[in-house]
Amino acid sequence: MKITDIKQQIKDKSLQDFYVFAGEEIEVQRIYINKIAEISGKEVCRIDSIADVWEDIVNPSMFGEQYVYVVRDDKDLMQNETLQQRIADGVLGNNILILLLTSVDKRTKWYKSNADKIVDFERLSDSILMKYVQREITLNKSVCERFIAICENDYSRLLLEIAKIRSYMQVFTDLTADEAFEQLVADGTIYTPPKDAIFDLVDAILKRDVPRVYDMLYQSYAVGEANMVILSVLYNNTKQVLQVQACESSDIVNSTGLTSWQVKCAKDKCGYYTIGELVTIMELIQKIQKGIILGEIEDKLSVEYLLVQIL
Amino acid sequence: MIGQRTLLNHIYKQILNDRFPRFAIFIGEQGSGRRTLASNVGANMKSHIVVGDIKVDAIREIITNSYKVVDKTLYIIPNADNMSPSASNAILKITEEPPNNAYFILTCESADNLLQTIRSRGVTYILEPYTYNEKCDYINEVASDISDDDEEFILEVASNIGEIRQLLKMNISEFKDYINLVIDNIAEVSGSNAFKIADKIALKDEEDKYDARLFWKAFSSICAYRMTSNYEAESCLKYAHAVAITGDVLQQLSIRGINKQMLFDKWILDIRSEWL
Repeated sequence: MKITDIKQQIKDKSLQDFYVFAGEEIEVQRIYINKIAEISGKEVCRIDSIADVWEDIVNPSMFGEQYVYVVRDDKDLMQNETLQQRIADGVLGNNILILLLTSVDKRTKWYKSNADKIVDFERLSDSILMKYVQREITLNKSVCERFIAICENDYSRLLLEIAKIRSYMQVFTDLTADEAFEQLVADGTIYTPPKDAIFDLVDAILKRDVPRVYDMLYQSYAVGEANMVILSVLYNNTKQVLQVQACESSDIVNSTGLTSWQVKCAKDKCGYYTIGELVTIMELIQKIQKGIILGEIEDKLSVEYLLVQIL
Repeated sequence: MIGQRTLLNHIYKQILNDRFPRFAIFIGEQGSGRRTLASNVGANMKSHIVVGDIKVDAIREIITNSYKVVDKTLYIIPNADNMSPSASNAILKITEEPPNNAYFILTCESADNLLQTIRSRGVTYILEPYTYNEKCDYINEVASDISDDDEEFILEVASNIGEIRQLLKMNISEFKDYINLVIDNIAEVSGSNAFKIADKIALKDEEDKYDARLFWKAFSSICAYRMTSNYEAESCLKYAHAVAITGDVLQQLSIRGINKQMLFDKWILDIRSEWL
Protein backbone atom coordinates (compact mmCIF):
# COMPACT_ATOMS: atom_id res chain seq x y z
CA MET A 1 0.00 0.00 0.00
CA LYS A 2 1.30 3.45 -0.81
CA ILE A 3 1.14 6.49 1.44
CA THR A 4 -1.28 8.07 -1.03
CA ASP A 5 -3.68 5.14 -0.48
CA ILE A 6 -3.71 5.59 3.27
CA LYS A 7 -4.12 9.33 2.79
CA GLN A 8 -7.17 8.63 0.66
CA GLN A 9 -8.56 6.26 3.29
CA ILE A 10 -8.16 8.95 5.93
CA LYS A 11 -9.80 11.48 3.65
CA ASP A 12 -12.69 9.12 2.88
CA LYS A 13 -12.86 8.01 6.53
CA SER A 14 -12.81 4.37 5.39
CA LEU A 15 -10.03 2.98 7.53
CA GLN A 16 -8.85 -0.63 7.70
CA ASP A 17 -8.68 -2.42 11.03
CA PHE A 18 -5.03 -3.48 10.60
CA TYR A 19 -2.01 -1.58 9.26
CA VAL A 20 1.68 -2.23 9.15
CA PHE A 21 3.96 0.80 9.15
CA ALA A 22 7.51 0.14 8.05
CA GLY A 23 10.41 2.45 7.25
CA GLU A 24 12.62 4.94 8.97
CA GLU A 25 10.40 8.01 9.02
CA ILE A 26 9.10 7.65 12.57
CA GLU A 27 7.80 11.20 12.90
CA VAL A 28 5.61 10.87 9.81
CA GLN A 29 4.33 7.52 11.13
CA ARG A 30 3.41 9.27 14.38
CA ILE A 31 1.51 11.91 12.42
CA TYR A 32 -0.48 9.26 10.56
CA ILE A 33 -1.19 7.30 13.75
CA ASN A 34 -2.58 10.44 15.36
CA LYS A 35 -4.61 11.22 12.25
CA ILE A 36 -6.09 7.70 12.22
CA ALA A 37 -6.96 8.05 15.89
CA GLU A 38 -8.55 11.43 15.27
CA ILE A 39 -10.64 10.25 12.31
CA SER A 40 -11.78 7.07 14.07
CA GLY A 41 -12.52 8.87 17.31
CA LYS A 42 -10.36 6.55 19.34
CA GLU A 43 -7.38 7.02 21.62
CA VAL A 44 -3.95 5.72 20.82
CA CYS A 45 -2.82 2.92 23.09
CA ARG A 46 0.82 1.87 22.75
CA ILE A 47 1.43 -1.72 23.81
CA ASP A 48 4.46 -4.03 24.04
CA SER A 49 2.71 -7.01 22.57
CA ILE A 50 -0.68 -7.93 21.14
CA ALA A 51 -0.86 -10.65 23.79
CA ASP A 52 -1.25 -7.95 26.45
CA VAL A 53 -4.59 -6.83 25.07
CA TRP A 54 -5.74 -9.92 23.20
CA GLU A 55 -8.28 -10.84 25.84
CA ASP A 56 -9.84 -7.36 25.68
CA ILE A 57 -9.99 -7.55 21.89
CA VAL A 58 -11.48 -11.02 21.68
CA ASN A 59 -13.94 -10.56 24.56
CA PRO A 60 -14.83 -6.89 24.54
CA SER A 61 -16.92 -5.73 27.45
CA MET A 62 -20.21 -3.91 26.97
CA PHE A 63 -18.85 -0.57 28.10
CA GLY A 64 -15.26 -1.13 27.14
CA GLU A 65 -13.46 1.36 24.94
CA GLN A 66 -11.97 0.77 21.54
CA TYR A 67 -8.48 1.92 20.77
CA VAL A 68 -5.93 2.39 18.08
CA TYR A 69 -3.43 -0.15 19.36
CA VAL A 70 0.15 0.52 18.33
CA VAL A 71 2.78 -2.19 18.79
CA ARG A 72 6.39 -2.35 17.55
CA ASP A 73 8.11 -5.47 16.16
CA ASP A 74 5.67 -7.98 17.66
CA LYS A 75 7.19 -11.27 16.41
CA ASP A 76 4.18 -13.26 17.56
CA LEU A 77 1.95 -11.17 15.32
CA MET A 78 4.26 -11.70 12.36
CA GLN A 79 4.80 -15.45 12.79
CA ASN A 80 1.57 -16.75 14.28
CA GLU A 81 -0.58 -17.67 11.28
CA THR A 82 -3.61 -18.46 13.44
CA LEU A 83 -3.47 -14.96 14.92
CA GLN A 84 -3.09 -13.43 11.48
CA GLN A 85 -6.07 -15.39 10.20
CA ARG A 86 -8.20 -14.24 13.10
CA ILE A 87 -7.28 -10.63 12.42
CA ALA A 88 -8.13 -11.14 8.74
CA ASP A 89 -11.48 -12.58 9.87
CA GLY A 90 -12.26 -9.39 11.75
CA VAL A 91 -11.54 -10.28 15.37
CA LEU A 92 -10.39 -6.71 16.02
CA GLY A 93 -13.94 -5.46 15.77
CA ASN A 94 -13.95 -1.67 16.08
CA ASN A 95 -10.38 -1.53 17.29
CA ILE A 96 -7.58 -0.62 14.96
CA LEU A 97 -4.20 -2.31 15.20
CA ILE A 98 -1.05 -0.72 13.83
CA LEU A 99 2.12 -2.81 13.75
CA LEU A 100 5.33 -0.76 13.50
CA LEU A 101 8.32 -2.53 11.98
CA THR A 102 11.88 -1.37 12.48
CA SER A 103 13.02 -3.44 9.51
CA VAL A 104 11.16 -5.62 7.06
CA ASP A 105 12.33 -8.28 4.65
CA LYS A 106 10.38 -7.78 1.45
CA ARG A 107 11.26 -11.29 0.27
CA THR A 108 9.29 -13.10 2.97
CA LYS A 109 6.00 -14.87 2.43
CA TRP A 110 4.52 -12.73 5.22
CA TYR A 111 5.38 -9.48 3.47
CA LYS A 112 3.96 -10.65 0.16
CA SER A 113 0.71 -11.83 1.70
CA ASN A 114 0.24 -8.58 3.65
CA ALA A 115 1.34 -6.14 0.96
CA ASP A 116 -2.08 -4.44 0.98
CA LYS A 117 -1.66 -3.52 4.64
CA ILE A 118 1.99 -2.48 4.67
CA VAL A 119 2.87 1.20 4.25
CA ASP A 120 6.53 2.00 3.71
CA PHE A 121 7.46 5.32 5.28
CA GLU A 122 10.73 6.03 3.53
CA ARG A 123 12.69 9.18 4.04
CA LEU A 124 10.87 12.15 2.58
CA SER A 125 12.28 13.79 -0.49
CA ASP A 126 14.24 17.05 -0.34
CA SER A 127 11.45 19.06 -1.95
CA ILE A 128 8.79 17.90 0.52
CA LEU A 129 11.09 18.44 3.48
CA MET A 130 11.93 21.95 2.23
CA LYS A 131 8.23 22.80 2.43
CA TYR A 132 7.86 21.32 5.91
CA VAL A 133 11.01 23.03 7.21
CA GLN A 134 10.05 26.39 5.77
CA ARG A 135 6.69 26.07 7.51
CA GLU A 136 8.50 25.81 10.83
CA ILE A 137 11.37 28.25 10.30
CA THR A 138 12.42 30.70 7.61
CA LEU A 139 15.73 29.64 6.11
CA ASN A 140 17.49 30.61 2.91
CA LYS A 141 17.04 27.93 0.21
CA SER A 142 20.70 26.81 0.10
CA VAL A 143 20.91 26.81 3.90
CA CYS A 144 17.72 24.77 4.03
CA GLU A 145 19.15 22.23 1.57
CA ARG A 146 22.29 21.93 3.68
CA PHE A 147 20.19 21.60 6.83
CA ILE A 148 18.20 18.72 5.29
CA ALA A 149 21.41 16.99 4.16
CA ILE A 150 23.00 17.33 7.60
CA CYS A 151 19.90 15.78 9.18
CA GLU A 152 20.04 13.00 6.55
CA ASN A 153 16.44 13.64 5.47
CA ASP A 154 15.23 12.55 8.91
CA TYR A 155 12.07 14.57 9.61
CA SER A 156 12.15 13.83 13.37
CA ARG A 157 15.70 15.08 13.57
CA LEU A 158 14.86 18.19 11.57
CA LEU A 159 12.14 19.09 14.05
CA LEU A 160 14.53 18.63 16.98
CA GLU A 161 17.22 20.75 15.36
CA ILE A 162 14.65 23.43 14.49
CA ALA A 163 13.73 23.54 18.18
CA LYS A 164 17.42 24.15 18.98
CA ILE A 165 17.61 26.97 16.43
CA ARG A 166 14.48 28.59 17.86
CA SER A 167 15.80 28.35 21.44
CA TYR A 168 19.10 29.86 20.33
CA MET A 169 17.32 32.72 18.58
CA GLN A 170 15.32 33.44 21.71
CA VAL A 171 18.58 34.04 23.57
CA PHE A 172 20.44 35.82 20.75
CA THR A 173 17.60 37.89 19.40
CA ASP A 174 19.66 39.79 16.84
CA LEU A 175 20.43 36.65 14.85
CA THR A 176 18.50 35.51 11.80
CA ALA A 177 17.59 31.85 11.49
CA ASP A 178 20.36 31.36 8.90
CA GLU A 179 22.98 32.90 11.18
CA ALA A 180 21.77 30.89 14.15
CA PHE A 181 21.99 27.71 12.06
CA GLU A 182 25.57 28.44 10.94
CA GLN A 183 26.70 29.13 14.48
CA LEU A 184 25.10 25.98 15.84
CA VAL A 185 26.70 23.85 13.10
CA ALA A 186 30.10 25.44 13.68
CA ASP A 187 30.12 24.70 17.41
CA GLY A 188 28.69 21.19 16.94
CA THR A 189 25.34 21.80 18.64
CA ILE A 190 23.74 20.69 15.40
CA TYR A 191 25.54 17.41 14.88
CA THR A 192 27.06 16.88 11.46
CA PRO A 193 27.64 13.16 10.87
CA PRO A 194 30.98 12.26 9.25
CA LYS A 195 30.24 11.41 5.65
CA ASP A 196 32.18 8.94 3.63
CA ALA A 197 34.73 8.56 6.39
CA ILE A 198 35.74 5.24 4.92
CA PHE A 199 36.81 6.81 1.62
CA ASP A 200 38.66 9.59 3.42
CA LEU A 201 40.34 6.88 5.50
CA VAL A 202 41.42 4.92 2.46
CA ASP A 203 42.73 8.10 0.79
CA ALA A 204 44.69 8.96 3.91
CA ILE A 205 46.23 5.46 4.06
CA LEU A 206 47.22 5.51 0.40
CA LYS A 207 48.71 8.98 0.81
CA ARG A 208 50.52 7.90 3.98
CA ASP A 209 48.93 10.77 5.95
CA VAL A 210 49.35 9.06 9.34
CA PRO A 211 47.59 11.59 11.63
CA ARG A 212 44.60 11.76 9.32
CA VAL A 213 44.52 7.96 9.03
CA TYR A 214 43.82 7.47 12.71
CA ASP A 215 41.39 10.38 12.83
CA MET A 216 39.40 8.93 9.93
CA LEU A 217 39.68 5.42 11.35
CA TYR A 218 37.99 6.45 14.60
CA GLN A 219 35.36 8.39 12.65
CA SER A 220 34.67 5.29 10.57
CA TYR A 221 34.25 3.21 13.70
CA ALA A 222 31.98 5.91 15.14
CA VAL A 223 29.57 5.52 12.22
CA GLY A 224 29.69 1.75 12.57
CA GLU A 225 31.83 0.77 9.60
CA ALA A 226 32.85 -2.88 9.80
CA ASN A 227 36.53 -3.80 9.58
CA MET A 228 35.89 -6.21 6.72
CA VAL A 229 34.28 -3.40 4.72
CA ILE A 230 37.24 -1.08 5.43
CA LEU A 231 39.66 -3.79 4.33
CA SER A 232 37.63 -4.51 1.21
CA VAL A 233 37.46 -0.85 0.13
CA LEU A 234 41.17 -0.39 0.89
CA TYR A 235 42.01 -3.49 -1.13
CA ASN A 236 40.07 -2.33 -4.20
CA ASN A 237 41.61 1.14 -4.06
CA THR A 238 45.13 -0.23 -3.56
CA LYS A 239 44.69 -2.50 -6.54
CA GLN A 240 43.54 0.42 -8.69
CA VAL A 241 46.54 2.52 -7.60
CA LEU A 242 48.84 -0.41 -8.39
CA GLN A 243 47.31 -0.87 -11.82
CA VAL A 244 47.67 2.82 -12.67
CA GLN A 245 51.13 3.24 -11.15
CA ALA A 246 52.46 0.10 -12.88
CA CYS A 247 50.87 0.88 -16.23
CA GLU A 248 53.46 1.50 -18.93
CA SER A 249 50.96 2.34 -21.64
CA SER A 250 49.76 5.89 -22.28
CA ASP A 251 46.23 4.52 -22.71
CA ILE A 252 45.70 3.65 -19.05
CA VAL A 253 41.94 3.16 -19.34
CA ASN A 254 42.14 0.47 -22.02
CA SER A 255 45.22 -1.12 -20.56
CA THR A 256 43.79 -1.52 -17.05
CA GLY A 257 40.07 -1.87 -17.78
CA LEU A 258 39.34 0.86 -15.22
CA THR A 259 37.00 3.76 -15.90
CA SER A 260 38.49 7.21 -16.49
CA TRP A 261 37.10 8.35 -13.13
CA GLN A 262 38.80 5.45 -11.34
CA VAL A 263 42.05 6.25 -13.16
CA LYS A 264 41.81 9.91 -12.14
CA CYS A 265 41.19 9.01 -8.46
CA ALA A 266 44.01 6.46 -8.50
CA LYS A 267 46.49 8.90 -10.09
CA ASP A 268 45.86 11.26 -7.19
CA LYS A 269 47.16 8.56 -4.83
CA CYS A 270 50.09 7.33 -6.91
CA GLY A 271 53.68 7.65 -5.79
CA TYR A 272 53.32 7.34 -2.03
CA TYR A 273 54.16 3.64 -2.07
CA THR A 274 56.41 1.66 -4.39
CA ILE A 275 54.89 -1.01 -6.56
CA GLY A 276 56.36 -3.66 -4.28
CA GLU A 277 54.78 -2.01 -1.24
CA LEU A 278 51.39 -1.86 -2.96
CA VAL A 279 51.62 -5.58 -3.76
CA THR A 280 52.56 -6.22 -0.12
CA ILE A 281 49.48 -4.29 1.05
CA MET A 282 47.22 -6.37 -1.18
CA GLU A 283 48.80 -9.61 0.02
CA LEU A 284 48.51 -8.52 3.65
CA ILE A 285 44.84 -7.65 3.29
CA GLN A 286 44.15 -11.01 1.68
CA LYS A 287 46.02 -12.76 4.48
CA ILE A 288 44.14 -10.78 7.12
CA GLN A 289 40.77 -11.46 5.50
CA LYS A 290 41.52 -15.17 5.45
CA GLY A 291 42.79 -14.98 9.03
CA ILE A 292 39.55 -13.37 10.21
CA ILE A 293 37.46 -16.07 8.53
CA LEU A 294 39.56 -18.83 10.06
CA GLY A 295 39.56 -17.17 13.47
CA GLU A 296 43.32 -16.64 13.46
CA ILE A 297 43.07 -12.84 13.52
CA GLU A 298 40.62 -10.91 15.65
CA ASP A 299 38.28 -8.85 13.53
CA LYS A 300 38.37 -5.79 15.78
CA LEU A 301 42.18 -5.58 15.63
CA SER A 302 42.50 -6.36 11.94
CA VAL A 303 42.67 -2.86 10.48
CA GLU A 304 45.09 -1.55 13.08
CA TYR A 305 47.20 -4.69 12.63
CA LEU A 306 47.42 -3.83 8.94
CA LEU A 307 48.14 -0.14 9.47
CA VAL A 308 51.03 -0.86 11.81
CA GLN A 309 52.71 -2.87 9.08
CA ILE A 310 52.18 -0.58 6.13
CA LEU A 311 52.38 3.03 7.38
CA MET B 1 24.06 -43.10 -8.96
CA ILE B 2 27.45 -43.13 -10.65
CA GLY B 3 30.33 -44.36 -8.53
CA GLN B 4 30.34 -44.39 -4.72
CA ARG B 5 30.02 -48.19 -4.77
CA THR B 6 31.82 -48.89 -1.51
CA LEU B 7 30.08 -46.08 0.33
CA LEU B 8 26.67 -47.09 -1.00
CA ASN B 9 27.19 -50.71 -0.02
CA HIS B 10 28.12 -49.64 3.48
CA ILE B 11 25.08 -47.37 3.73
CA TYR B 12 22.70 -50.00 2.29
CA LYS B 13 23.87 -52.47 4.95
CA GLN B 14 23.19 -49.88 7.63
CA ILE B 15 19.70 -49.25 6.24
CA LEU B 16 19.00 -52.98 6.06
CA ASN B 17 19.97 -53.38 9.70
CA ASP B 18 18.09 -50.24 10.64
CA ARG B 19 21.33 -48.66 11.76
CA PHE B 20 21.52 -45.64 9.51
CA PRO B 21 22.14 -42.65 11.81
CA ARG B 22 19.46 -40.04 12.49
CA PHE B 23 21.95 -37.29 11.78
CA ALA B 24 24.51 -37.73 9.01
CA ILE B 25 26.93 -35.43 7.25
CA PHE B 26 27.90 -36.08 3.63
CA ILE B 27 31.18 -34.45 2.67
CA GLY B 28 32.36 -34.00 -0.88
CA GLU B 29 33.38 -31.43 -3.48
CA GLN B 30 30.78 -29.48 -5.37
CA GLY B 31 29.49 -31.71 -8.15
CA SER B 32 30.56 -34.94 -6.43
CA GLY B 33 26.98 -36.16 -6.01
CA ARG B 34 26.27 -35.42 -2.34
CA ARG B 35 22.65 -34.58 -2.91
CA THR B 36 22.15 -37.44 -5.36
CA LEU B 37 23.59 -39.81 -2.76
CA ALA B 38 21.33 -38.37 -0.06
CA SER B 39 18.26 -38.80 -2.30
CA ASN B 40 19.43 -42.35 -3.05
CA VAL B 41 19.58 -43.05 0.68
CA GLY B 42 16.08 -41.67 1.11
CA ALA B 43 14.74 -43.85 -1.69
CA ASN B 44 16.38 -46.92 -0.16
CA MET B 45 14.91 -46.15 3.24
CA LYS B 46 11.53 -45.78 1.55
CA SER B 47 11.06 -42.47 3.29
CA HIS B 48 9.55 -39.17 2.25
CA ILE B 49 12.27 -36.80 1.16
CA VAL B 50 12.20 -33.11 2.03
CA VAL B 51 14.97 -30.89 0.67
CA GLY B 52 15.40 -27.91 2.95
CA ASP B 53 17.08 -24.53 2.80
CA ILE B 54 19.93 -23.26 4.96
CA LYS B 55 18.19 -20.04 6.06
CA VAL B 56 17.48 -19.93 9.80
CA ASP B 57 13.70 -19.59 9.35
CA ALA B 58 13.63 -22.60 7.03
CA ILE B 59 15.72 -24.64 9.48
CA ARG B 60 13.38 -23.75 12.33
CA GLU B 61 10.38 -24.73 10.25
CA ILE B 62 12.00 -28.08 9.40
CA ILE B 63 12.73 -28.73 13.06
CA THR B 64 9.16 -27.93 14.10
CA ASN B 65 7.70 -30.13 11.37
CA SER B 66 10.10 -33.02 12.05
CA TYR B 67 8.61 -33.52 15.50
CA LYS B 68 5.15 -33.87 14.01
CA VAL B 69 5.81 -36.32 11.16
CA VAL B 70 4.23 -39.73 11.42
CA ASP B 71 5.87 -41.40 8.44
CA LYS B 72 9.60 -41.86 8.01
CA THR B 73 10.97 -38.64 6.54
CA LEU B 74 14.44 -37.74 5.37
CA TYR B 75 15.36 -34.06 5.55
CA ILE B 76 18.23 -33.08 3.28
CA ILE B 77 19.94 -29.77 3.97
CA PRO B 78 22.29 -29.06 1.05
CA ASN B 79 25.37 -26.80 1.21
CA ALA B 80 25.27 -26.72 5.00
CA ASP B 81 28.72 -25.07 5.04
CA ASN B 82 27.01 -21.85 4.06
CA MET B 83 24.67 -21.87 7.08
CA SER B 84 24.76 -18.75 9.20
CA PRO B 85 25.72 -19.13 12.90
CA SER B 86 22.02 -18.75 13.87
CA ALA B 87 20.98 -21.50 11.49
CA SER B 88 23.83 -23.71 12.75
CA ASN B 89 22.74 -23.18 16.35
CA ALA B 90 19.12 -23.88 15.44
CA ILE B 91 20.04 -27.23 13.94
CA LEU B 92 21.85 -28.28 17.10
CA LYS B 93 18.49 -28.97 18.67
CA ILE B 94 17.72 -31.98 16.48
CA THR B 95 21.23 -33.34 16.87
CA GLU B 96 20.68 -33.56 20.60
CA GLU B 97 17.08 -34.79 20.60
CA PRO B 98 16.41 -36.40 17.22
CA PRO B 99 12.68 -36.73 16.47
CA ASN B 100 11.29 -40.25 16.19
CA ASN B 101 10.50 -40.57 12.51
CA ALA B 102 12.92 -38.07 11.06
CA TYR B 103 16.38 -38.49 9.56
CA PHE B 104 18.68 -35.63 8.67
CA ILE B 105 21.45 -35.42 6.12
CA LEU B 106 23.60 -32.31 5.85
CA THR B 107 25.78 -31.99 2.78
CA CYS B 108 28.88 -29.85 2.74
CA GLU B 109 32.16 -29.35 0.94
CA SER B 110 34.33 -29.23 4.00
CA ALA B 111 33.58 -30.32 7.55
CA ASP B 112 35.75 -27.46 8.78
CA ASN B 113 33.03 -25.05 7.73
CA LEU B 114 30.52 -26.64 10.12
CA LEU B 115 30.31 -25.89 13.82
CA GLN B 116 32.45 -28.26 15.85
CA THR B 117 29.36 -29.18 17.91
CA ILE B 118 27.45 -30.21 14.77
CA ARG B 119 30.40 -32.22 13.43
CA SER B 120 30.80 -34.10 16.68
CA ARG B 121 27.14 -35.11 16.80
CA GLY B 122 26.80 -36.34 13.22
CA VAL B 123 28.11 -39.45 11.50
CA THR B 124 30.37 -38.34 8.67
CA TYR B 125 30.42 -39.97 5.25
CA ILE B 126 33.10 -38.83 2.83
CA LEU B 127 32.29 -39.26 -0.84
CA GLU B 128 34.77 -41.33 -2.80
CA PRO B 129 36.74 -39.87 -5.67
CA TYR B 130 35.51 -40.94 -9.11
CA THR B 131 37.70 -43.41 -10.92
CA TYR B 132 38.98 -42.80 -14.42
CA ASN B 133 36.68 -45.52 -15.76
CA GLU B 134 33.62 -44.12 -14.03
CA LYS B 135 34.25 -40.70 -15.53
CA CYS B 136 34.92 -42.26 -18.94
CA ASP B 137 31.70 -44.25 -18.83
CA TYR B 138 29.73 -41.15 -17.91
CA ILE B 139 31.20 -39.08 -20.74
CA ASN B 140 30.53 -41.87 -23.25
CA GLU B 141 26.97 -42.13 -22.00
CA VAL B 142 26.09 -38.43 -22.24
CA ALA B 143 28.46 -37.15 -24.93
CA SER B 144 29.55 -39.98 -27.14
CA ASP B 145 30.25 -37.61 -30.07
CA ILE B 146 32.90 -35.62 -28.21
CA SER B 147 36.39 -35.53 -29.75
CA ASP B 148 39.18 -37.61 -28.18
CA ASP B 149 41.18 -34.50 -27.34
CA ASP B 150 38.28 -32.91 -25.55
CA GLU B 151 37.48 -36.14 -23.74
CA GLU B 152 41.08 -36.44 -22.59
CA PHE B 153 41.06 -32.86 -21.39
CA ILE B 154 37.84 -33.38 -19.43
CA LEU B 155 39.15 -36.56 -17.84
CA GLU B 156 42.30 -34.74 -16.74
CA VAL B 157 40.57 -31.70 -15.34
CA ALA B 158 37.25 -32.85 -13.90
CA SER B 159 37.34 -34.83 -10.69
CA ASN B 160 33.60 -35.45 -10.42
CA ILE B 161 30.40 -35.74 -12.44
CA GLY B 162 29.30 -32.18 -11.74
CA GLU B 163 32.52 -30.78 -13.18
CA ILE B 164 32.22 -33.04 -16.23
CA ARG B 165 28.73 -31.64 -16.81
CA GLN B 166 30.03 -28.06 -16.51
CA LEU B 167 32.85 -28.71 -18.95
CA LEU B 168 30.53 -30.41 -21.45
CA LYS B 169 28.35 -27.29 -21.46
CA MET B 170 31.19 -25.03 -22.53
CA ASN B 171 33.22 -24.69 -25.72
CA ILE B 172 36.23 -26.72 -24.61
CA SER B 173 38.54 -25.58 -27.43
CA GLU B 174 37.91 -21.95 -26.54
CA PHE B 175 38.49 -22.72 -22.85
CA LYS B 176 41.79 -24.47 -23.58
CA ASP B 177 42.88 -21.65 -25.88
CA TYR B 178 42.13 -19.13 -23.18
CA ILE B 179 44.16 -20.99 -20.59
CA ASN B 180 47.09 -21.40 -22.96
CA LEU B 181 46.89 -17.67 -23.69
CA VAL B 182 47.03 -16.97 -19.95
CA ILE B 183 50.00 -19.28 -19.44
CA ASP B 184 51.89 -17.73 -22.35
CA ASN B 185 51.20 -14.13 -21.40
CA ILE B 186 50.69 -13.81 -17.66
CA ALA B 187 54.30 -12.89 -17.07
CA GLU B 188 54.79 -11.13 -20.42
CA VAL B 189 52.17 -8.40 -20.09
CA SER B 190 52.31 -5.51 -17.63
CA GLY B 191 51.05 -6.06 -14.11
CA SER B 192 47.99 -3.89 -14.64
CA ASN B 193 47.09 -5.84 -17.78
CA ALA B 194 47.51 -9.17 -16.01
CA PHE B 195 44.66 -8.39 -13.63
CA LYS B 196 42.32 -8.39 -16.64
CA ILE B 197 42.60 -12.20 -16.71
CA ALA B 198 39.90 -12.15 -14.02
CA ASP B 199 37.42 -10.50 -16.40
CA LYS B 200 36.53 -13.90 -17.88
CA ILE B 201 36.37 -15.75 -14.58
CA ALA B 202 33.17 -16.10 -12.54
CA LEU B 203 34.38 -14.71 -9.23
CA LYS B 204 30.87 -13.69 -8.20
CA ASP B 205 29.02 -16.72 -9.63
CA GLU B 206 28.32 -15.07 -13.00
CA GLU B 207 26.87 -17.58 -15.44
CA ASP B 208 28.51 -16.36 -18.64
CA LYS B 209 32.08 -16.72 -17.36
CA TYR B 210 34.41 -19.61 -16.64
CA ASP B 211 34.07 -21.28 -13.24
CA ALA B 212 37.07 -20.30 -11.09
CA ARG B 213 37.73 -23.80 -9.78
CA LEU B 214 37.65 -25.33 -13.26
CA PHE B 215 39.89 -22.58 -14.59
CA TRP B 216 42.52 -23.24 -11.96
CA LYS B 217 42.29 -27.00 -12.34
CA ALA B 218 42.67 -26.69 -16.10
CA PHE B 219 45.57 -24.25 -15.67
CA SER B 220 47.24 -26.70 -13.33
CA SER B 221 46.64 -29.59 -15.70
CA ILE B 222 48.05 -27.78 -18.72
CA CYS B 223 51.08 -26.59 -16.73
CA ALA B 224 51.67 -30.17 -15.57
CA TYR B 225 51.48 -31.35 -19.19
CA ARG B 226 53.95 -28.68 -20.32
CA MET B 227 56.24 -29.63 -17.46
CA THR B 228 56.32 -33.27 -18.49
CA SER B 229 56.77 -32.52 -22.18
CA ASN B 230 59.53 -29.97 -21.67
CA TYR B 231 63.18 -30.98 -21.21
CA GLU B 232 64.57 -27.66 -19.99
CA ALA B 233 65.06 -27.73 -16.22
CA GLU B 234 64.23 -24.05 -15.83
CA SER B 235 60.94 -24.40 -17.65
CA CYS B 236 60.07 -27.54 -15.71
CA LEU B 237 60.66 -25.73 -12.46
CA LYS B 238 58.58 -22.76 -13.60
CA TYR B 239 55.58 -24.96 -14.38
CA ALA B 240 56.06 -26.99 -11.18
CA HIS B 241 55.88 -23.81 -9.11
CA ALA B 242 52.77 -22.73 -10.96
CA VAL B 243 51.12 -26.05 -10.17
CA ALA B 244 52.06 -25.70 -6.49
CA ILE B 245 50.74 -22.12 -6.30
CA THR B 246 47.50 -23.11 -8.02
CA GLY B 247 47.09 -26.13 -5.74
CA ASP B 248 47.32 -23.89 -2.70
CA VAL B 249 44.68 -21.55 -4.12
CA LEU B 250 42.35 -24.47 -4.92
CA GLN B 251 42.56 -25.59 -1.30
CA GLN B 252 41.60 -22.13 -0.08
CA LEU B 253 38.53 -22.07 -2.33
CA SER B 254 36.71 -24.41 0.03
CA ILE B 255 37.06 -21.98 2.97
CA ARG B 256 33.65 -20.53 3.63
CA GLY B 257 33.48 -16.79 2.96
CA ILE B 258 36.84 -16.53 1.24
CA ASN B 259 37.06 -13.53 -1.08
CA LYS B 260 37.55 -15.05 -4.54
CA GLN B 261 38.61 -11.76 -6.14
CA MET B 262 41.43 -11.31 -3.63
CA LEU B 263 42.41 -14.95 -4.04
CA PHE B 264 42.58 -14.57 -7.81
CA ASP B 265 44.62 -11.38 -7.62
CA LYS B 266 47.05 -13.05 -5.22
CA TRP B 267 47.34 -15.99 -7.57
CA ILE B 268 48.21 -13.66 -10.46
CA LEU B 269 50.82 -11.85 -8.37
CA ASP B 270 52.36 -15.10 -7.12
CA ILE B 271 52.58 -16.64 -10.60
CA ARG B 272 54.13 -13.45 -12.00
CA SER B 273 56.53 -13.28 -9.09
CA GLU B 274 57.73 -16.83 -9.87
CA TRP B 275 57.87 -16.42 -13.62
CA LEU B 276 59.41 -12.95 -13.95
